This record gives sequence, structure tokens and C-alpha cells, in this order.
Amino acid sequence: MEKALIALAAALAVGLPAIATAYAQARIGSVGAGTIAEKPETGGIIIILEALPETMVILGFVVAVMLILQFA
Amino acid sequence: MIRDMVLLGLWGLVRDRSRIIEKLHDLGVLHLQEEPVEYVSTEAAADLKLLRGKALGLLESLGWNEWSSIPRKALEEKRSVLSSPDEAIIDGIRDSLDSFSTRVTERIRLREALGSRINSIKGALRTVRHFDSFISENSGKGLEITLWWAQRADVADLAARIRKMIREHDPLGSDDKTPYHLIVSPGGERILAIAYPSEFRKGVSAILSSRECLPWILPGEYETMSFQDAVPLMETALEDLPRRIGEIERNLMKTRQEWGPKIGALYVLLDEKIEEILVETGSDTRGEIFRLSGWVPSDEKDRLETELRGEFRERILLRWRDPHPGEWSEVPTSLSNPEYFRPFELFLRLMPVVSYKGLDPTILIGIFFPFFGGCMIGDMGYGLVIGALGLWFRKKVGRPMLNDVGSILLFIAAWSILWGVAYGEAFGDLGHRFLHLEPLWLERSQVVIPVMIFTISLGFAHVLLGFIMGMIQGLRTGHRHLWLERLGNILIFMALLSGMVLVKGWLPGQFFTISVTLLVLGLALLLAGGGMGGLVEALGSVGNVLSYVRIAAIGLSSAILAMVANSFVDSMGVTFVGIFMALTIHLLNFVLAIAGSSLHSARLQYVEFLGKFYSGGGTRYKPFSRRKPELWKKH
Repeated sequence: MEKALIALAAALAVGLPAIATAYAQARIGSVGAGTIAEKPETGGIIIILEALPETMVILGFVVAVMLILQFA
Repeated sequence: MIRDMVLLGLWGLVRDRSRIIEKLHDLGVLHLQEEPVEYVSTEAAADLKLLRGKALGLLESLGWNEWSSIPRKALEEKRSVLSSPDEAIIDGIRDSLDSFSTRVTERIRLREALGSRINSIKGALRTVRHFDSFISENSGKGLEITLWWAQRADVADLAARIRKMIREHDPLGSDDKTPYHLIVSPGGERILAIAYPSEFRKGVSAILSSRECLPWILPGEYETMSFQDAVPLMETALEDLPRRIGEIERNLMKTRQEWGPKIGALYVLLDEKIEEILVETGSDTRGEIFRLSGWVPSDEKDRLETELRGEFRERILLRWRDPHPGEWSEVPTSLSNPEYFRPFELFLRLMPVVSYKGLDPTILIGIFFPFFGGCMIGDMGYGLVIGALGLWFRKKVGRPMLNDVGSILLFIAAWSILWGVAYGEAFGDLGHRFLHLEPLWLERSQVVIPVMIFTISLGFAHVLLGFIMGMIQGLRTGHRHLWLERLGNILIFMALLSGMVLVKGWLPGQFFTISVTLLVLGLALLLAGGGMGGLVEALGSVGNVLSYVRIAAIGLSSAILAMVANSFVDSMGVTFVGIFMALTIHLLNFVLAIAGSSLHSARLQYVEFLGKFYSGGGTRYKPFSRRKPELWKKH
């Protein structure tokens, strides 16, 4: 039971930020595509903006690994 | 590296102006201080602009866009003809273009007319076929058949009125002399076919027209024919017309292949000549003297001077000087990097142009981008496939940008193979199973924490390098706030590093004082340079360092997915399904590995690294030079 809860916690640590990231990236992506169509030179900035929310998942992943390694 | 620029001032005689400008155009190194303005109309350029427009229109009509197929030699040969175009040459070109354009337009129009004829015949046949049995049955009885659009009409009521009219004139006739059939086409239109004795044509027409019915007629030359006569002819036409269109297409294709490069070359030469004229008219002319000024890379200065002096000797005056600090924002930026790193300039094309006194990060991107990408992929097998892909891009794909992409893929491939050796991976654990490959460093799918610590350390070093570059940038440009803030960040990072080492017990306790001193000094410099904003940014930098853990995370997922792919053969045996599933998952993993590693590695460069020192706002170096059709981009 305890292991299951730890696994659930680890899954939530990755899953919830992943949902949030997906939502943010979808919004940024659609707007970014429009921006690049009008101003191709903004491509670099749009990639940056598109990639920013991913940090949430990465940090979630770190937390998940820590949870599993520390408690499982 | 950013090339040093010098400002050239050129004075010459007005009678030499055309030749001097032509020479500068040939040399192709001068970035004019005042760019020629296209919309400024000059009488001399007006005719050439018209010709250029005609040539472009013709190319559009022909659908030709293979600028790289223009033979350079032919371009050079024809350049001399247009070097000083007189009225006769311009008239000759105009007449040729007009007559050529007329012939091409005629063919294109004929093709379009035939295409629309096919469509109308197809549409008519589709409708008539709905009434096939109705037409054959009633025409056999000697009745006339007409079709009507009957959108709003009450068909039963109309039929009753027609029958009534026929009975009034022919009381012995029977009801079946006015049969009708109504269909609703897929487009939603209601089409009514009605059969009646031909002597009642006018009456039927009057009744149907009174209820907003419109006659449905066969297209074009079939309009006056009966359906039975027209249908076989239309079917024959449907076989014949595509053949005629095919002939026209082949003819146009031949014309496109034969004349496209020639008209393309003419367009390029006209464009060049117009630019020369605009530069000529835009030059500062006083009496018999004219002046031009612009930026030249200092490594091209001697060549330019020798060439101009060789041709114009003492009839030309050249003056050079370095840019003043106040002019740095106007000086164009030209990059010059070693051949191996040149493909990585591609990354800067997605950013605002680096400022003249900024730091060119191309070499550093060339080192770190493939290193991080390779670390994420970390598989010898995938590395070899990426290498093959890179070679294919370089050898087979002619476009310069894809050539650069091919070179970058080769770098990533090399690092993937090296990291694959470190992790002992070749198509996941396939190398271990068949070739008994052992990791040189560690097996990342089993040992996660050391890889995570390693990637964070990489991030620490990379971000620190970014701060050092930022400090150098601040010192170069004399931005005190910038270098103070970056130095503050460097000291805080050093304090954090020494603090961690102290916690681990790798340094004696006396170093604690040094750590605290570094931290306090760093904070003071940070606040002095960037204020509270700087403090917030320093906290963000810690997040930046942690962000490098993505290298481990993506690498781990890639390694596990490759193992999952191989496990299909374990569970399903060496069967077709097992191998197919394994290959499919490997393919998916490979695509994810390339896309993921490239995107995330690029993000680490753009966000975590370049954000610390990159300063845009520069002007791209655009020398006044001849067109290069192979690099042509339609504006």
C-alpha cells in the first residue's frame, strides 16, 4: 500500500506539471506560429517561449525520482 | 567571430561613376551606408523595372522557380550585354518578352478553358445519367424532353397544369403523355425532367417559367442537341479533352525547362542593373565629383583597394577609418567562423542579429549543442543512423541550409556514438546482448542519480560560462551595470559551489569564511549592477542550472524506450510481429531522440546560455554584390 502511494505521488509529480505544460505550450504554440508567419526572425524567441513551460515537467521528474529513490 | 569593419569613403569622377559602381558590384564587399531605396523612381530605372516586372510575371505564368538551375557561366556572359543597356536593347527585350508572354498566356488560357469544359461536361453527364431510363423510354414514344431547375416549384401542381393544358388542346390524349421525373442532386438542387408532345413546347415553357423554373441546358455546342445525340458526343469529348490538355502541359513543361533559366537569368541581371542605377542616383554628386561610403570588412580592405586602384588609378580617392563608439549600432555585423563551426551560424539566424560589439556565440554553440544532444541520445546505433542521415543531407540535398543541417547532424552523431560508448548502448541493450558491450562509465537506465548530478554540473559550468561571457560583453561595451551584475552572479555561483564542497567535507572548514565572503561580495555587486531585478534573475539562474537535468531525463526515457522495443522480440520471439513491433518502437524512439535532443539542446543554448550575454539589435552585413541564384529567396 505504501509503495503504491509513493508511486502515485511520483506519477502526480510528473503528470500534473505535464498537463500544465501541455496547456501552456498549446497556447504559446498557436500564437507563436502566427507570430513566426508574420515575422520569421522571431523564431528563436518563440522557441524560447515555447520551451519555457517544460521546466515544470523537468522539475516534476526530479521530484518523482527523488520520491522513488528515497522512499520506495 | 565578428569581423572588424572599416568605413570606406570613396570619391570619384562622375564620368567613371557607372564603371566604379559596376566594379564595386563585382567585388561584392561594400555594405552601403545608405541602402538603395527601391521605391524611389528614377527615369533610368523605370524601363528596366518594367522589364523586370514582365520577366517575373512570365516566370510566374510558367510556374518556374528553379533559380539554382541558372548556369553561372550564362549569367556572366549575358551580364556584359546588360552592362550598358541602350534604348534598342531595352526595346528588343521588351518586344521578345511581350511576344513570348502572349504565346504562353494563350496556351495557359486554352488549358484552363479545356479544363473548365471538362468540368462542365462531367457535371452535365452526371445530371443526365440520372434520367437515362426516363429519356430513353419517353423519346421512344416520340415525346420531347426538357430539364428544368425547379427549386421552389410544386412539381405535382405543375404537372397537373401541363396535363390540363394538353387535354384542353387534345381531349383524346391520355395522361401518360406528360410524365415527369424529379431528382435532388448531391448539391441539393432539384432538377425536373418532363416529357410532352413537341407541339406544346411553348405552353409547357410558359407554365414552368411562371413558377420560377429555369431551363436546364447542356453546355456549349451541345445546347441545341437532343440528350440522346449529345451524350455520346460528350463522352467522346471527355476522352479527347484530357489528351489535348496533356499536350499543352507537355508543351508548357518544355517551354518552362528551356526558357525558365534564360528568363530567370534575365530577371537576375535586370535586378542587378536596377540596383546599380539606384546606387548611382543615390550617390552624393557635386559637380564632376561623386561620393559613396559604406562598411567593408577590414580583411577585405586591401583587396578592394588594390582592385579599385588597379582600374581607376589616381582618378579615385579612397579614405578609411575605424568606427567610433557612437557608430557601433550602425556598423553591420559579419560573422567569420572556422569552417567546421560555420553551420552553427544557423542558430543565430533565428535570433535578432548580434550587435557589432557583441560576442558571437557560434563556436560555443558548436561545442555545446552537439555535446548535449549526443548526451541525450547516447546510443551508438542511433548515432550511426544519424551520421548516415547527416551525410545524406550533405551529399544529396543541394540547398545550403539543409547542407548545414547535415553538418550539425554529423556533429550530433559523433557525440551520440561517444556517449553511447560511455553508456554501453547500441540500439538500447542490443549491443550488450549480441556484442557484449559494457558501459565505459555507467548504465544510465539503471543508475539515474549520478547522471542527474553530472548534467546539473554541466549546467552549472555552462551557465557560469554564460555569466563570464556576459561580463566580458559588459567590459567590451563599457556597460558598468552589466559587468557588475554578471560578476556578482559569478561570485554567488562560486560561493554556492564552495558551499556544496564544504558540506560534502571535501574542503577544510576554514574555507567557509571564503564562501561567505564570496556570497556577500557577489550580492553587493549584483545589487549594484542590476538592483532588485538582478537579485530575482540570480534566483532564476539556479532554476536555469536545474533545467539541465532534462539531459538526463530525456536520455533516460530514450534508453528505456529502446529497451522496451527490444523486449518485444523477447516476449513475441523472433517472429515477424515481434521484429516489426521492435523496429516500429525503435523508429519512434529515433524520431523522438532526434527531435527531442535537438529542441531541448537548442533551448538550453537559447534560454540558459545566450540569455546571459547575447546582445542583438545589430544590422546584418549585406554587401552590394551580384545576385547568387542558388541562394535566391523569393521576396
